[in-house]
Amino acid sequence: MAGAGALKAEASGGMPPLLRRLLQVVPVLFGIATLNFLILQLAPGDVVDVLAGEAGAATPETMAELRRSFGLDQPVWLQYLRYLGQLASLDLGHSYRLNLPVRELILTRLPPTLLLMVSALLLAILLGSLAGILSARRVGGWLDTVVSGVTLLSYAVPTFWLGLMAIVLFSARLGWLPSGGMLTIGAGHSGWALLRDIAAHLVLPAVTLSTFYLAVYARLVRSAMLELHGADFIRTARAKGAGEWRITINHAFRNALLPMVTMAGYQAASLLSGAVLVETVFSWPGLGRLAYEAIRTRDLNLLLGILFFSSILVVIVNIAIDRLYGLVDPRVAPGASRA
Amino acid sequence: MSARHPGLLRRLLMHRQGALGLLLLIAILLLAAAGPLLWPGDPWEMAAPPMLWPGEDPANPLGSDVMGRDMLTGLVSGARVSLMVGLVSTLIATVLGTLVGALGGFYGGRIDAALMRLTELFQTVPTFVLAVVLVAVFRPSVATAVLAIGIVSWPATARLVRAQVLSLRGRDFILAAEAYGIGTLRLLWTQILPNALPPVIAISSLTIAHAIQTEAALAFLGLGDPNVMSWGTIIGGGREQLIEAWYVCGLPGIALIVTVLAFNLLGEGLNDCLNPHLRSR
Amino acid sequence: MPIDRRALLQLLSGSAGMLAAPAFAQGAAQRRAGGELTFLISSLDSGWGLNEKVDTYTGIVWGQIADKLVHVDEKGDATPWIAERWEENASQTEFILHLRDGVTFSDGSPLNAQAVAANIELWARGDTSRGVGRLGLFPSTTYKGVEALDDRRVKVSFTGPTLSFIPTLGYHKTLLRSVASLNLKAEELGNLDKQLGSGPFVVESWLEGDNVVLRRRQDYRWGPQAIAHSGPASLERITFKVVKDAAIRAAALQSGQAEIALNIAPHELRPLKARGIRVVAPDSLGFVSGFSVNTCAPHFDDVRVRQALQHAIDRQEILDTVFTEDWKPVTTLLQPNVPEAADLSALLAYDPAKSNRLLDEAGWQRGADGIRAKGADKLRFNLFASPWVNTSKQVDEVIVQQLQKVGIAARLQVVDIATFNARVRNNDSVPLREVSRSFLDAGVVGNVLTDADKGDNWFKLGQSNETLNRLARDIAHAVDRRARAETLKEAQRYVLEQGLFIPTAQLNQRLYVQAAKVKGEAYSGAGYALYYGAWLEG
Repeated sequence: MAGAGALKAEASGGMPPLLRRLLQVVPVLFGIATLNFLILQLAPGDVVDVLAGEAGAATPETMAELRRSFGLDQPVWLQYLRYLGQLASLDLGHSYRLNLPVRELILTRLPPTLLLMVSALLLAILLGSLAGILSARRVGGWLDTVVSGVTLLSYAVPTFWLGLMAIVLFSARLGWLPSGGMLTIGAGHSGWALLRDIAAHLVLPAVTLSTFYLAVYARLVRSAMLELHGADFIRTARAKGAGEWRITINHAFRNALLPMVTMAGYQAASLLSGAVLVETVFSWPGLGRLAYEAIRTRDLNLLLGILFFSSILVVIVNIAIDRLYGLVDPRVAPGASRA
Repeated sequence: MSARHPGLLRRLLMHRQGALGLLLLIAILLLAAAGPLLWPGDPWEMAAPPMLWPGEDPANPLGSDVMGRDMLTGLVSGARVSLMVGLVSTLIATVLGTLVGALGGFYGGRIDAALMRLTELFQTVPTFVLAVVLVAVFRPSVATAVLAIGIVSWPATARLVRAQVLSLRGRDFILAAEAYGIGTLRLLWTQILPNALPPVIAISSLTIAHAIQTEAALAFLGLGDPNVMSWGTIIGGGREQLIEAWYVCGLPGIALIVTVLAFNLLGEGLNDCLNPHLRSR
Repeated sequence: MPIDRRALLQLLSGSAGMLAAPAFAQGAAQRRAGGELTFLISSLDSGWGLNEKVDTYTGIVWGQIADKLVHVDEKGDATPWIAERWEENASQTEFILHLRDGVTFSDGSPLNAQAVAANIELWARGDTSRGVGRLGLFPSTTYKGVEALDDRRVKVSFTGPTLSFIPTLGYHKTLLRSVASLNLKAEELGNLDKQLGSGPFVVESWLEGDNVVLRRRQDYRWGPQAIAHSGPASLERITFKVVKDAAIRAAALQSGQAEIALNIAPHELRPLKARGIRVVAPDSLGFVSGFSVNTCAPHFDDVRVRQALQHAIDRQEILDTVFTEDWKPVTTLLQPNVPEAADLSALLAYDPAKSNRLLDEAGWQRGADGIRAKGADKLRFNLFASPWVNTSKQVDEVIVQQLQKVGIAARLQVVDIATFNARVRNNDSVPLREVSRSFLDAGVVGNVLTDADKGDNWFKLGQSNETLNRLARDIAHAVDRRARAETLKEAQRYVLEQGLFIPTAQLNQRLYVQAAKVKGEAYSGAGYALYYGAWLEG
């Protein structure tokens, strides 16, 4: 957030855009691996300390042997090179704590996180646009004041706190919605019943998370619309007798799409951050919770795997958005890049 | 250009949102400063019966938490902590961001490319996850929280400063100064940075708001300083009794919202006042 | 002596002692087969691997999937399960386990002597090439080897007397797994689909770190003798679901979305009880919550400082502030149900005047800030909350306030498990280390006093204290439980008098908060639930 400055599109040309983009990604991924590797090296305690458990049962000899078998006894630079080599061959290794392949762990947790994020984002875009259009129709009117008040407020509310309060009200007091999880486990629903079950579980976390993004879209749409109010083609359309809503949807809204798409791409990076908190509050079985546990237990392979994976995801989203630019606004060359 | 400062406060007061933000902020600051005089006592002292609801007992107007600690004393003490965390971590982020942005924008070329890659790196890593890693790994305390938040919050400032520097770089008065043979660092320090500063101030206000939220989120995950009563600490501690005594989480949350709102409004007002050409938007 | 005398006695006297008293008392109601149970648990994050990967939460799930050789009740007495009887030599160095016939793992492979031997060998030695450490509580230091005499007899040998061997077989981590499961590759060990036990329930589906759904095994007929039930389990299914927030577990329980929730915050228990929800705090063998004192830490080599601490803690206030009536006051460093526990409450009396006097005598004078000092040296230290006990932080917050009153400045620190083990456990600048340790045989006490025989050396006295050396030796070499009990009592008194262990409260690490309709469940000696005999009323 607070990223107004990051939105400026930077034009640069040269190589074929897709290739250039992919090449740009390599140092970033390399940097991420290095950064996290270093931080976790500085951390007190490693996965063997976690495995030693509560009783502190393992003797120093056993712990030394375990470190040897995980390669933790080797010099840091060697561990680092080994890890980079692994990554280069797209092998994420296995979690020493969970005794499962990292790739498998990530792939089972990815769909819930994506479902939550995409619904939250769609909800934010939908509601945000609506709010933006409504408030732009009469600047300074009561609707505008109310909408801008609500959006400012929603921007100030911490998502985790809103989640807690929503649980108190809608689950505990009113009993309308389940307080956590993605579906009723063991209920064996299928087809429509399953969809309905998931939807009921999705409502609170998705709405909670969307408030964080909502304000941004409302403002983007509002200002894009205001900019266009006096534009010639709008006046022409009006003169032709087009209805107010049609003008709004067809012309003004289309022009607001560009900054909105930009914003969506920018927010892809904050995907995992938002997930940690909301997934914790709502016991949502996603990547964010997995990442948090990996930190607590010094599960280096798993944590690096998740960060690596999420970075690739961010990059893919951004490339996709570069493509989208061309569709939304043919004037923008697909090579224009944002961070 | 520096002539805009005298009128800033007046313009801010004319700005509806900016004025509201400023007023709210002054109220919060007063409360944080005067609170210990009005409601003295150790916020950790377990003096009252546990889980008193607000209004139940006049001695504890806002009730008590699960350990029998007075909520009002805790909230007032939390205000100081949250404001401090917000300010210091933003200072770190602003210094870091300005440095990176100014150097990159001014020197361009490889330095710029390297610095921008670094910025990009920090924007691709999920920032909150990075903050959690930093705090979890180096024992939770106010200091680590401040540092971690500062370290993850600078990229936005860096990009903004860089863009400003880039646009100023080609201006006549800079070119003229350069022609007079003023050293690059001095040029950067005396001519470019002061002119790039206004939007940085505006964005800092937003960064503070975000920093305060982040500290609370860290404390909520149990990564707060166990010896310092911040709003996040109270929320984190009240989580176990959420259903029976939701006000323990609720009240500090509301305090947090008001504070964040104040900073957001102020940032908004500053932005409009300091960048008049954007005002019509 | 073909059958353990104690076990026989238990069988003759009826096995009422080992069932959860409330459930059994109402046992007159009609048992009903079928029904599903939803169990909300705080975490399932330790993975499904071997040995120490079984933690206090996954241990509850494992208890339904895998069987154990013996069942140990809350008094530490072992009764037959997969081992239908056992023999031991007089010097307690050789044990022969006789296995029940016809037991199979859920894939149909036999649970025979060879399988048991493979399990025991792995507990004792681990397999570091696959990242499997040995099992902490298993008496590995005296372990010599295991041998399958025939299909149904296993011989286990030790180099010295090992009274704790049989009780340890009822530990929540000494689970019997199929040989194929034991031999999985390191990155497959955590795959619960491939981890097979012989228990009354089998895994239907699971999601790592989130949930496990268990289904009843139809051909199960080898439950523990101590449980008054035979044939397959009554419950059709059990769903374990992770819900991190205690308050949300409580809310789900209230609204009927679940039947059982683990570990609700003490203060939420009262309103739940008022709504007819039952709180079961099974007696659990082990040490109480408290601190072992590191005598190498600055100022804590002085016995007066340690004793001052012992009397500066108001244990009743801890109970009143943090806990409820489900927690009883501590009387020694062992949980009250440990048969060897002594009543030494007098040594733990709250007496701040005495603490002040002791500190004055030791030369610690109160400074202007209220903190005691000796010259420039202040009486202050870091107090680390245990990352394993969820009430630990709150208890420590109370203690910090109490110590402040006698002029000791303790600063609370909260760290995660990795940091705790790496930086706190063996750190000589940290005077108090919080202990939360369960055991099934009190012989463990002998192992913590000194560093002899790879002892845990809790007080960092090494073998410099003659009294502790003697006590440790006598406990380790005991071949008779009754004689050992006397030594253990002497040890408790000495440790408390010397201020080497500062107990705080009873340790209830597993609190089962459940709907009244759940009946017939049982608990092992460490407080782990067994739902083999459980059923749901109407």
